[in-house]
Amino acid sequence: MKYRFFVAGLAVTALAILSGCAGSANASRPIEFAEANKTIAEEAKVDSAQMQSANAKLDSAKALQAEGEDEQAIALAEQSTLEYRLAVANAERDAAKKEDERVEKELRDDVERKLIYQNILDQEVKNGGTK
Amino acid sequence: MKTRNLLMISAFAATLCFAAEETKTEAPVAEAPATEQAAPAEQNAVDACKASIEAASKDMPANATSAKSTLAAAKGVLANLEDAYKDDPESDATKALANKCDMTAKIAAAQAETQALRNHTAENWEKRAATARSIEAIQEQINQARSGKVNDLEAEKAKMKDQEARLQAEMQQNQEKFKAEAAAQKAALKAAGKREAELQKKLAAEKKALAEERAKAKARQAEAMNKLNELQSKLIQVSKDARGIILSMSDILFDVNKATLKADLKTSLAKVAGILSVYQQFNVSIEGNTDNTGSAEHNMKLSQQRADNVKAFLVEQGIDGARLEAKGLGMTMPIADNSTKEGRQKNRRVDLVIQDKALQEGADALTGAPAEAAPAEPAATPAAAPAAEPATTPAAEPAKK
Repeated sequence: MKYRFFVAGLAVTALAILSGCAGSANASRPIEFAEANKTIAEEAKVDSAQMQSANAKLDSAKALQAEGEDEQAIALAEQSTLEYRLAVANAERDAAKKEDERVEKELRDDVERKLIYQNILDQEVKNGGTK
Repeated sequence: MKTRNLLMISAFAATLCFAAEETKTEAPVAEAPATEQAAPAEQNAVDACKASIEAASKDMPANATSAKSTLAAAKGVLANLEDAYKDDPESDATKALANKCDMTAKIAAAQAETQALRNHTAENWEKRAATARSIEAIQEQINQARSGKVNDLEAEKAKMKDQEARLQAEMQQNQEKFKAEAAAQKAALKAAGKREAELQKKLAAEKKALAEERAKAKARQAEAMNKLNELQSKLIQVSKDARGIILSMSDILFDVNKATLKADLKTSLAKVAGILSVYQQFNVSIEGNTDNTGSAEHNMKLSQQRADNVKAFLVEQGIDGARLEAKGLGMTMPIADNSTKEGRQKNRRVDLVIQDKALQEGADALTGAPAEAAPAEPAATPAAAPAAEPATTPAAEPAKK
């Protein structure tokens, strides 16, 4: 009889482990993921408004986690992660745009220099021809 | 049998657990705050998500790997959204998925745009590199052009330098030559000046000596003139002109048509010889003249003979023959009109032209011509009065030749 109960209990435990029903949803991983994205965003010096919004959601997620509201905490952590990622993407786009504008300007300067040198060469050749 | 039932019960319980887990996974999203739901009310959440994905994928660069990955995630969200939308279009889970889809699409769009910008920047870098190469090539061409020009200029400069050196050397040579010539000319000029000064000095001395000599000669001549005036008579006229003292002796003192001297003439000539011996500086030109009667040849011969005889007599009296000159002038030097008797008598004569050597030489020196070249009176104008001033009245009617 004891053996039967033991086997039945073992089966239930195994099923529970296999099915992931061993415990309720854990918000730690999404929050940690969000924290990592926050660090990236800080290093990227993203837009402060977007940063504040994402930070607010991450803080809320942490608060909800502390209150045991893991499911809501996960949702907010994922949202903050998305916002961090979007802010980083925007910052990279802005940096790329700035760099592109700088290079564009330098290219124009180069072209102008080239024209100047070309004019000098034309003048030298002309002077050499009339010498 | 009981064990089999137990396993079936466990399987059922597990199924329930999975179902519950599925519900739990979606539940938190559904419970997200209403303000975070981005799906517009009017637009279908699924269509909006598709539109966002479509917009993000539009003009996506081929090398936008991150954007493509993000876009794939957005498409995964879209699949979940479609399922959720089928279950309940208005559920919180649907709204949360719609928001997630929108955010993910935006991230993909930003990443795509970033990659596009980077691609453009890379193209510009390549263009800059190409431009820099072009500039280098142009600079090289400029340097070559200038180098060639510089070479030409250097050659020109060297040529000009050579030319300048050559000209400088020539100029120096010329300067030295001119300097030497100038020095020589200066020396020559100095020597010439010295010579000229000496000559001037000598000339002045000579002039002075000559003037003194002439003054002495004039004094001598005046003295002699006074002595010769003693011979003044009807037959001998004493006068003075530029040629000197002139003793004009009438032909009466000669035999007719002969050259022999009469005694009276000899007496007078002896006195003249005495004066001439005192004044050794005097030369005498003895000039025989006739009128125009008879032939010119005869007259010339007769006049010459008479002059010669006078000279011979004077030599006999001790006068050096070198001081004497006898000339027969015939009828060529009349002093009066041959058409009258008186005139013809005057023309028949022997003139002794006495002149001091000093005065003669002085006249030669001043005029460059012998004193004889300037006769005292013109012979071609018989009507004119003789230049010589007679010391006394003219002689009496002369005898015939």
